[in-house]
Amino acid sequence: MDDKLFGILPNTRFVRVVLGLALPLLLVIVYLLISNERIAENPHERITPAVSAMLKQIYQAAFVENIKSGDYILWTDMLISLKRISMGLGLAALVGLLLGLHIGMSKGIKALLQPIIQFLAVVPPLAILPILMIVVGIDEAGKITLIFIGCMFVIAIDIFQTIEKLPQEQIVKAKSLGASNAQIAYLLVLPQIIPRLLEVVLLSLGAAWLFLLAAEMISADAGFGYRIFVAQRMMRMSLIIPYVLILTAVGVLVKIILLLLLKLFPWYSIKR
Amino acid sequence: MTAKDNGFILQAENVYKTYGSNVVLDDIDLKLRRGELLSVIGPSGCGKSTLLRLILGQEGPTRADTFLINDTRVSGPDTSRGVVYQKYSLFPDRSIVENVALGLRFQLSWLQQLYFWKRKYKHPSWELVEKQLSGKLFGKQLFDWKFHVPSWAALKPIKDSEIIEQAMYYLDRVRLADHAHNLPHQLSGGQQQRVAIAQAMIMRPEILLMDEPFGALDPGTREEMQVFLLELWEEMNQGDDSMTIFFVTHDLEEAVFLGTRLIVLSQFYSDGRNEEDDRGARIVYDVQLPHVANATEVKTKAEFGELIQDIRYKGFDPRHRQHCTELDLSHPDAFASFTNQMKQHNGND
Repeated sequence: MDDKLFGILPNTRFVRVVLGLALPLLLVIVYLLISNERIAENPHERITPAVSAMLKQIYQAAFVENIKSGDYILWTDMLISLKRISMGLGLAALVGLLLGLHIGMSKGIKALLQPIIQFLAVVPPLAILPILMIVVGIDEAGKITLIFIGCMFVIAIDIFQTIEKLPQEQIVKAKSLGASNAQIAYLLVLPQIIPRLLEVVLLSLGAAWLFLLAAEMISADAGFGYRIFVAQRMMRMSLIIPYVLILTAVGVLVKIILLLLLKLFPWYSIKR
Repeated sequence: MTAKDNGFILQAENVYKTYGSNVVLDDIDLKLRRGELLSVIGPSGCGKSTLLRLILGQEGPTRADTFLINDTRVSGPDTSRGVVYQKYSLFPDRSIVENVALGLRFQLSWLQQLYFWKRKYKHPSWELVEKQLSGKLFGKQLFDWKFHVPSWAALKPIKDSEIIEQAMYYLDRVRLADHAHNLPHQLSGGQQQRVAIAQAMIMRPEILLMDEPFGALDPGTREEMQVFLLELWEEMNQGDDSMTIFFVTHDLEEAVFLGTRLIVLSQFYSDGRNEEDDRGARIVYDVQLPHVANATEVKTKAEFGELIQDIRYKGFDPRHRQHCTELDLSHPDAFASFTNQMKQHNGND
């Protein structure tokens, strides 16, 4: 097949960018058309707010002090949500790495821990959210624990499966060079699985956001999920839509940061 | 320990290896002298790599009357046996010089130095050495003690710069000093194998085990590497040192070119059992190869053409099976022990 898109368009970067923007642009135009019509019929329309209304809401959220809480709610929400997800996911990554590493390196530890971890990984974290709220509490600890539990098992399992895929030749070679088991685990295997840890954290981001928003919607006083939930009870789509867009943008930003970190390991992508 | 005493570095008698009901190695008898370059060939799947793994200590024999490395029983992999594999030679996250220095770095811990008795460059012993401890404060000599301690207590940890120096020295010998700070994936296959050889050799193992190390390389590079290996081996065999190499390959010409001794592992032989029975491999051919003093004088194929034909016929042809008591074991160190059952001939040969 010739290198032409849809048979007629040349395959240049410009054409690809234009094509990529075409559908989002279409969605925006469709929305504007629908919203204009509905507002023309009923000025107090709630479901498809005007763009100007959305902009006004966001401006207020970002730059106008909130009457009740006295802060700029957009930044407060952003900071607190980011703090919760980074602590939860960060802890999950750390503990998952340590668990996975030791399970992968020691057959004894594997026999001890693998069954229970495989079992706990299947328990739906959202189902135990109420338990967490009771046991750990309804403020920060509870939310961070939910994210932690939701992500940690998957990370641990992935890490130790990665270790099992490492070629046995490396371990034997290390032993023939005089390495002890501890040296093999911490000096040879650990550096090789760090980029995989980044990858699996990247993959867990979606789930982590999910747990965060769920916890925030159930009991919180700040955060993206809380604000969206409150806005939903007031039917304030003009706040929800921009918030969701900003939330998505933040998520994409975090993903880009992780992908950039992955570039620190040029040998990893080549190996695969 | 490294003195060339022409002793046997490897002694194996009646070594068997089975996986479940599948016999892979059947009655291996091998005595290998120091300083030899042993080529091991055989039809594919015959167990050459299994034998290498047994010597390395990666797996244990199912049964063995004698299985000694340097007069000690073979246990897990340690620094007495180095290994070079066909792939996965290097650790991908480290630079080349770090890869080569790896073996030395593992010795860095002071505690380990106490217990690592066989290290080549520092021999802890009970000989007393004099140590001096002196203290000065503001120019005045406070104390100055001289006392004797056993030398293992006087060990200082090796400096990192010394380690890097040694690593660069070995990199130089494999002619890759320019690439010291590259990562393995930036090097070609042949270069990676050279680094792997340096990485194994820096620990000065008693015996270097190589499992088809040049198998993944293109023919031109393969020839370069063969010459390179010969030169390196000759260098290491000078003076008091000896370097024994156990070289597994499936390439007959390569085996004949490199080795001073050649053994063929094959399951195509006959003994007291029926021909249809599955057999493990045994050594069906054990011959001394003339060694050319100057490695760059290429042994022409014509010289060894007859030998190669013979080996192909006797070791690789399933239709031709010699009886195990009539094998060509002409090497002076070759030996074989048989049970009475094996000595029986049945009607098939």
